[in-house]
Amino acid sequence: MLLRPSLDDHRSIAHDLGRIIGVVAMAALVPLAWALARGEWRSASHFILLIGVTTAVSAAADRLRPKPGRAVDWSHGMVVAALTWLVVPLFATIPLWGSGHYSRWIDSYFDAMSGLTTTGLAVIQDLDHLSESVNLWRHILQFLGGQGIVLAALLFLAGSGALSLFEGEGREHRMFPNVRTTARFIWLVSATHAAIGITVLTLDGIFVQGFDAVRAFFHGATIFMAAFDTGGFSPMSTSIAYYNSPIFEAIVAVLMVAGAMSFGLHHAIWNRRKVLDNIEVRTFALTVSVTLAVTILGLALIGAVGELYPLVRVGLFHVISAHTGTGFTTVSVAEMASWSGLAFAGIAVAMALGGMSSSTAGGVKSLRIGLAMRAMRDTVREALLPDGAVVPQTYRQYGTQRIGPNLVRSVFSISLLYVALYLLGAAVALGFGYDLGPALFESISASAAVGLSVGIVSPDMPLLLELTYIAQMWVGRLEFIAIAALLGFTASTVFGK
Amino acid sequence: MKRFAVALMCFLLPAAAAHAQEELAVSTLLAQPDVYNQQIVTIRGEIVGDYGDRGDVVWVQLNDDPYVDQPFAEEGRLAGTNTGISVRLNGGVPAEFGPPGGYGIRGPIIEVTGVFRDLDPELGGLTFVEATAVALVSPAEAFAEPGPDTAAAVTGATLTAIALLAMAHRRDLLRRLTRSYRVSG
Repeated sequence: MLLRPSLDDHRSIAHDLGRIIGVVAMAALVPLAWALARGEWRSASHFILLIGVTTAVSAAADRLRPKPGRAVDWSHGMVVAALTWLVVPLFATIPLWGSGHYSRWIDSYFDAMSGLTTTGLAVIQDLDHLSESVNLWRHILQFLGGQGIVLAALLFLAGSGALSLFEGEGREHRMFPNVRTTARFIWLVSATHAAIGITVLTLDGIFVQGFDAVRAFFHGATIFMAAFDTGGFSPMSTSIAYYNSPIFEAIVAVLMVAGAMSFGLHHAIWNRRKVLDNIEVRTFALTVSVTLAVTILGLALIGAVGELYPLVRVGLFHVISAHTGTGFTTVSVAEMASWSGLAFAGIAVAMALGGMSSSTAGGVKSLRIGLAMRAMRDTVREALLPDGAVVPQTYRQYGTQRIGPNLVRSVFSISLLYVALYLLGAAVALGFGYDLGPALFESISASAAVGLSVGIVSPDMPLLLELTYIAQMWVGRLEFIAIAALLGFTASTVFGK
Repeated sequence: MKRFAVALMCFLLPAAAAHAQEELAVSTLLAQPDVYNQQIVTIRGEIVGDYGDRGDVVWVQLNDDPYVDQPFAEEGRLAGTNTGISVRLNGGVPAEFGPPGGYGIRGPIIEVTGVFRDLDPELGGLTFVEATAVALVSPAEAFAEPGPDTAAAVTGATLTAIALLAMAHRRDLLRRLTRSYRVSG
């Protein structure tokens, strides 16, 4: 029998959601300042409206404080995490829709969801004439989503609910016993990378690209946020092809890999611990190498890129972009759509596999791939060895960990759910008459929060397909558990007694 | 200024000769790179974003989408996503061009004749047009900045003020501040 949640349950969820929405108000101060400094008055007024609405909602939710001593339980944390990714894009659309660069409101919601889930698919029109402050806002959404808007709120939250919020965001590994300390560390890592990344990209912009200083900083800041948070939005319509620079591409590639690394790995590296035996590091290195070899071979076979250096450069950049879930590109959509056979397979598989767990990347994740391979290897070894022989079922990740049946079940369940999600989106696109290859490519891109496109995602795409991609981005980012908790909570509210 | 004038001359004279060449859409170039690779092509469009001045050459993005002739800032009409390609200009950009296109600015419209290089091996796989002749069709044009959305700003400011006061009241901040002021006073 389903138990209907009490009023206090709803109050506690609304209260925490309100605090998270308050983070949006604080984040919107940055583009507001930029708009005022650059004289973008219309955009500035929309940011003032955004700040007003989110502050008001946050203040109203603040009054719904649950009874003293009542902690947020696991399911509440999951429900809050799931709702966060649905509700925050609603508010985030205020400056996007106000810019006038969208034909339909749902398009601005699509871009807000794409930004917050660090996907990077975009349906904005005439991006090259968008105001800088709104462009900055698109990238800040990726930063908030990648670093964890929930994590930001965790800095102000306490109690047992913090852990479930943390896990609800698709994060698994805590570096410290306290979630708030973990959240602080993640933001410290991000701030350090931001300081270095933005400085290097800005200097490249001034001294290599030849941009003026303000524009170089603008490009540096936006590209940093999109690269480190594996988002893939870019301030110009031609993505990284705009910069025409191997140095710039190399810096961006390093940032993409850093963003796809789990924060546990960042923690281990900061503490100079051995990481080369880590199952995620090994799996990620293996899958990147294999998909890179396949992609380069595929590009060579179709003759898309003639000589070795450009072949490796184009192949490497796009495999890293796909595997880390970033979605940057240096070629046109038409060019990418022409990549068939092995080149297509290499990029599609790289997208589907994704980055590391507890990172900003999406996809199945290297940890699950590594554990699945290890479990299959152990099963084969058990079958081959004599009866009674003991096969140690362990793996290395910040020490020796045991592979238990529950872990294996969880790994295979989540991996299969991702495959189902990829196929579902492809089926919807097929229903609208698109070919299988592009339909699958776009579906994986949306579900694994990548953002590469072969042309289906556009302002003209059918509404139902657009809604499907929105749902895929949301579900893929939260890795199913939080969504299941939200569905369960909703069912209990409606049908419970 | 002298450098710009010389550059402008260099661009304009050959451009006249190249004018006879048929103009191609950037989307055609990108859709059929094998057909046009290493061929001399002529494209027309708006410079957007930045002038990437690298000393001897300037990199620009040239868009030839519908916004070239119907700027969003003027018409307010949407016509899809942008379509552009990188162009490498030799010898600098004349001051007459004006600023590149961006928010509230329709950048200079130019006609470029040059060699289309698809995934150029010499430059590590870049796709661009190496300009041999450039003609200025129309200099950059700035449009009046749309005024602030007063209703949105006033609503936002009012909501913020009310919300902050409500939160301060809930946390008893005003009374505590007043009390600490009295004590220190």
